[in-house]
Parts: sequence; C-alpha cells; structure tokens
Amino acid sequence: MCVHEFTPWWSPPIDWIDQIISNRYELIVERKPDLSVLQIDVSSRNWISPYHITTLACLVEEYSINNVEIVFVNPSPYLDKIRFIEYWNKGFNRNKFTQTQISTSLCLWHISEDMIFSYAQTAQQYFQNNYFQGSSLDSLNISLGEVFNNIFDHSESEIDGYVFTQYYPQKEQITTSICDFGLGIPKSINNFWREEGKNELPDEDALKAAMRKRVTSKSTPRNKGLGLDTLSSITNSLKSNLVILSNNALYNQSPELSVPKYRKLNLFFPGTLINLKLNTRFLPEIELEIGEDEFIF
Amino acid sequence: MRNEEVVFLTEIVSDVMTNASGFQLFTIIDKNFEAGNRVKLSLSGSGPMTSSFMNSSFGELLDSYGYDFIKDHLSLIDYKPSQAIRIKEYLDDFCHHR
Repeated sequence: MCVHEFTPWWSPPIDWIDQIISNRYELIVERKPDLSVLQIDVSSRNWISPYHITTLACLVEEYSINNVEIVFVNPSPYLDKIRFIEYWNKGFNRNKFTQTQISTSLCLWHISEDMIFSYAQTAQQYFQNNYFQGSSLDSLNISLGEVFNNIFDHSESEIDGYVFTQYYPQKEQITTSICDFGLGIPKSINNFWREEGKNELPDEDALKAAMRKRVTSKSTPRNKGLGLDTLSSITNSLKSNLVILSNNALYNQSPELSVPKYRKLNLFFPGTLINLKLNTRFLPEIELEIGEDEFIF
Repeated sequence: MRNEEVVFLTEIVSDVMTNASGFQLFTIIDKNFEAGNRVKLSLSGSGPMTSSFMNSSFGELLDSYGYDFIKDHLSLIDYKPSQAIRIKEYLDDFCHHR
C-alpha cells in the first residue's frame, strides 16, 4: 500500500496555498506512481478559516476522483463538527447539502451546477432567518450566484469546486470561501485575448482587467463581463473585504484601502480562490414589494 | 389597440441565477413583443438576479429590440425598489456602451 502523508499547518493564506499546491495529486503521483492512500493529519490548535476548508476540499477531491483512498487522522473538533472528515466516505453525497453541528456555519458543499441556485437561496434564508431578521442578505445570494456562474462558465475545473460559509457573530462578519482548480481568471482572459490577436498581460494585469466592467473571456456567448464587477460593487457597498487569488495574481479590496490592490504572487495558484467577508453591520433592511405602482423604464 | 400581458416571473423560471433561466424569460417576452403585446413583468416573490440571468434576458431583449422599444413595451409590477433600480441601471448601462 503506497501512502502519501500530509500534515497541514493551518497558516495564513499564501503559506497555506503553498502547502496545498505542493501536495497536489499530479506532483505526488509522479513520485509515487502506486499511490493508493492519502492520509491527512487534520489535528489543529490553530484557527481554521473557510479558505483552509475549501482549498483542502479541492485538494482531497483531486485524489478522490483518481481513486485514492482518503484517510483523516486526529480530526480537530471544528472539522469534526462541520463533518469535513465524513465527506469522502464511501456513499457520502458531497453534492447535497449536509447539515453541520455548528449553527453559525453553512455546510461545505461540492458545487454542482444544477443546485447553485438552491445553495445561494439556502445561504440567504438560513442566515437571514436565524441571525438577521429584518435585514436583507440579497448580497450574499448574488455574490454566490456570480461566483458559481463563473466557475461553470469559465473555469473548466475538473473537480468543479467547493464552497463554505461561516458566520462570526463577534466579528459581525459572514465569510464565504469558494475555490476551484480550473484555468484561473488571468489565464482565461489571456486565452481569449490571444485568440483575438491581442497581447497577453501579466497575471496581475489580466486580473485587473477582468475586474473591470464589460471585460470578458467570452466563455459563453452571452457573457458580458459583469459578474466580478457585481461582486466588487457589493463588497464596496457593504464596506466589506474581498480577496481573489488566481494564477500568479492577488486582488485585495477592503474599506481600509482607497483603491483595490493587485499584486503578483511568487506562487502559482491552479484555479481561483475567492474569499468574501461580508460586514453584517451594514446589511440593508428587507424591502417590501411595491404592488400598485407600475415601474416604467 | 395594443394588448397588455402580465408575465409572472416565478411562474416561468425556477431561478433568477442562470443563463438558461434568463433565456426562458427572454423567450416569453420576445413572443409577446412579436405578437404586438406590451408586457407587464411581475417580479413578485423573485430573488436577486445575477448578471448571467440579466444578460440572457434583458441583454437579449436589448440586442433584439433596442432600448426605446423596451421602454415603450416593458414595465415592472410587484417589484422591490432595488430590483427595479438594478434592471434600469443594467439597461441604461448597456444602452450607453453599445
């Protein structure tokens, strides 16, 4: 039996991503062609964030679709309660919603195209009904919808992707992390531009271009390049934080920055990781429908 | 005299998130426009729309008919103010950048 052992250290994003990409299936199987078991020591005394969970889930999914058995050892109580360690058990349906044992978290979910609407709707209703009665979480619903559409329209990710959402009442923050191991936004934009006969851009510039309105990779005929702009507008309107890490580029938007920052990374992320921290202090009130008046454009 | 049809969004689409659903809405409104009808679109019970949905519905209508025609033939009822503003901004924006 050939085993690959991975003991992650739950570190800040860049270091964490380095650990994830250093343990990708294609690298490990090159060294161990007979690989049959991935054993992950998921003990932790450190803080586990949603981005740890979604990226690790994508990594594990890669091994799983290549018929490698997944074994978790020493699970931390948090991972146990969100049932992370059960996800790759035989017969477990990762495409369905799995209730966690923590009321402030919404399940880790393997994003499946036919249920993206249900997840976004469920996320909105769950947090609205349980924690924010009278306040609207349309922002969370649209943000999730835009990112899910991006994954299925552009990413070409073999494992699709994973999403996880956690509410932190003390911080007044809903953090949602969405990860895929697809082409990545810069590569997707540059592929399209190359086909159009335009010059390719460095990844950070391609990501910057993608964040602008009406810049699109035209992966679908009706794509008009509004999804990421919508995500950024929501982040701005709720004085929230948005981090996008894709290929060699990092995008960072927060109320502390006068303009969003783009920077080149010294590592290559194979896909896209989006981390949205919605500031719940600024959620608007739920609106009532206007029934009588006709709205004329 | 021009006919007026009320189209209930939630009766024709199961979501307001995907291109496929957006195109379903486009198809219904398009048929009404072709028949010479004016459309009142009821947004009752519908959630926030993604850009993919709007591209495949309102974006397609803009491409097919132009903004002036849409202003004259399409209106909203049972809407939340933010929904109406978002759709109007979408139409205005694409009209200005064509």
